Amino acid sequence: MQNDRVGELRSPVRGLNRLSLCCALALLLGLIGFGLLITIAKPALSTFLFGDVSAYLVLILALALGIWALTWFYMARLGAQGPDQ
Amino acid sequence: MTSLPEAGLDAAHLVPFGLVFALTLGIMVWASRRTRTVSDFLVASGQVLAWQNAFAMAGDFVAAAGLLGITGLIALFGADGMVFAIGIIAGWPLMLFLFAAPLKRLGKYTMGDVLVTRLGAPHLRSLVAVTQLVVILTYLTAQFVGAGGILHLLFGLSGTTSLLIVFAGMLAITLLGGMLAVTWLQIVKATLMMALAVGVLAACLARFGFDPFAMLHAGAIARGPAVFQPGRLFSGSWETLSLLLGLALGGASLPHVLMRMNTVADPRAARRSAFLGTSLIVVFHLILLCLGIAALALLPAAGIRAADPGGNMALPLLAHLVGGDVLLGFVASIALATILAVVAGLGIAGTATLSHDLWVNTLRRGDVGPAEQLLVGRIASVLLSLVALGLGYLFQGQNISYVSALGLAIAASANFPALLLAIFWPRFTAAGAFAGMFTGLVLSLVLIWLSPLIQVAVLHRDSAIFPLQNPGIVTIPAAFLVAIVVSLVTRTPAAASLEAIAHD
Repeated sequence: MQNDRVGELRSPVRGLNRLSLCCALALLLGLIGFGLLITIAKPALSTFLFGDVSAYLVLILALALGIWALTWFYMARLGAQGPDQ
Repeated sequence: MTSLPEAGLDAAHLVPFGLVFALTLGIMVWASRRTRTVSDFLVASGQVLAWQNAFAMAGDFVAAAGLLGITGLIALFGADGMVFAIGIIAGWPLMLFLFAAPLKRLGKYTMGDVLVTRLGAPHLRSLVAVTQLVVILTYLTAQFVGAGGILHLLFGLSGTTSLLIVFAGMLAITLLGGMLAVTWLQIVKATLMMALAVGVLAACLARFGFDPFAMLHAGAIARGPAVFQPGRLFSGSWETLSLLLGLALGGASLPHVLMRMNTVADPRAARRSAFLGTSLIVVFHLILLCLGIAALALLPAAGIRAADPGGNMALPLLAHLVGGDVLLGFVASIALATILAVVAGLGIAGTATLSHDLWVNTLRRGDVGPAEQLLVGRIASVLLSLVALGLGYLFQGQNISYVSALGLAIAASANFPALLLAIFWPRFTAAGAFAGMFTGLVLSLVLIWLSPLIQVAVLHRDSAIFPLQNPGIVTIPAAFLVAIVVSLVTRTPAAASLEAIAHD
């Protein structure tokens, strides 16, 4: 009984479920890495790269833009996979 | 530096408030004429376009927790406050990758529908409903705290009176409009809010000759360069990781946002709206970072804390500093209206859970006409609003982002593992779903109760048994583990044979 509706939930497009899971995993690893870096690399993140711009501030901005870039990559790959109905 | 704005019922405060109120009322009346069926009320009958849904979903996230809470945290603690924004931003792509299209493909109203359809176990619905209600109520509490703070700052009303007004506003929007009204309110308010945030930022930058580095430098001089270094808000890696995981996984599995996947026409539109929403959220949070830095450069920490101990009023105070009473009036009114729209969206999700999951499908076993379902839904709205009112009263003075993070941590622990495994793991069983959700819900509630946020900040004790503000790092892995182990143990031989055939 428990398996007969899985097909309706998962995508019928070949490879799409793997792409979704890989992107989600990459994002989670990035988040965990960021959380660990804040403590492990605290002295490095506390340095000021130019003026009052700290490495920490740059990392936060890079992470925010990186997350957006990952979603853009996912949507771009999705476009290449054809219709998904 | 600045002083607190003078609260009162003068024209500078009342005119912007009146304009925003009239706009809100107009949208509600327009939408209520188009809401006739249960499907109209709950998911706007799938007629919302992808870009409209993206703005509406973004509107759900740019309310109290983001706009007021994160700006306040950056204004008080510096760059560490942005960690909240990173967690919230990360929740969106996760929802896009994992849930957007599958939920639309199944075409059901609530998470209870999804799990019951997938696992074929009606008894799951009650537990799912209880979990959703707990998440919705925690999230509602944060919105009540934010809206109450704004009314107090703007009109000098007492905390209780402010909360009662929010309660009335939530009821009016939920009962009159339904999902179509909430969607259009969110679209209009998200657009206005972003425009105003850009306006306030421009006015702040004008004070520094439009040089962002000069603003950054002013912040470093006012509070010391340490505000741009890590370690002012979090005690260590576990604290940060716990918060990040709770925010990201919880944001991806919030019931009222997941429900929005059914307001569009097809899975492709669901994905497109989640992507556009992600883009809007990233841009908006970068603006919030700049506003937070402007607040720490221009406002004294003591002044921010005097207006609200949680720092939630930093943005309205900043608007007052750079634009006087009129800009404060507009920022506060639109923030309030946005919060009301979020509250109404949460109210609809809660209503759907109470009426559709508990009343119709559990107590009456599906034997209910549309009129009774709509009536029960509206009664459920009133009950839900009353409980949120009480919780809002208890949590007054806390930072909204922290309170929201608790709701997200519960969602991450109870919803995320069950949804993910239901979609991607064929061996997942109803018993595994029940055990995982129960573990996630109960464990997160117990650890939140034992955390410093309740024991120290609310109950005023000296220390807390559980050291972390957010329980995600413990509760999410525990829920996953229990769900997987119980599924493996309870798998029937017949199901195992079917899987073997399916994999051949």
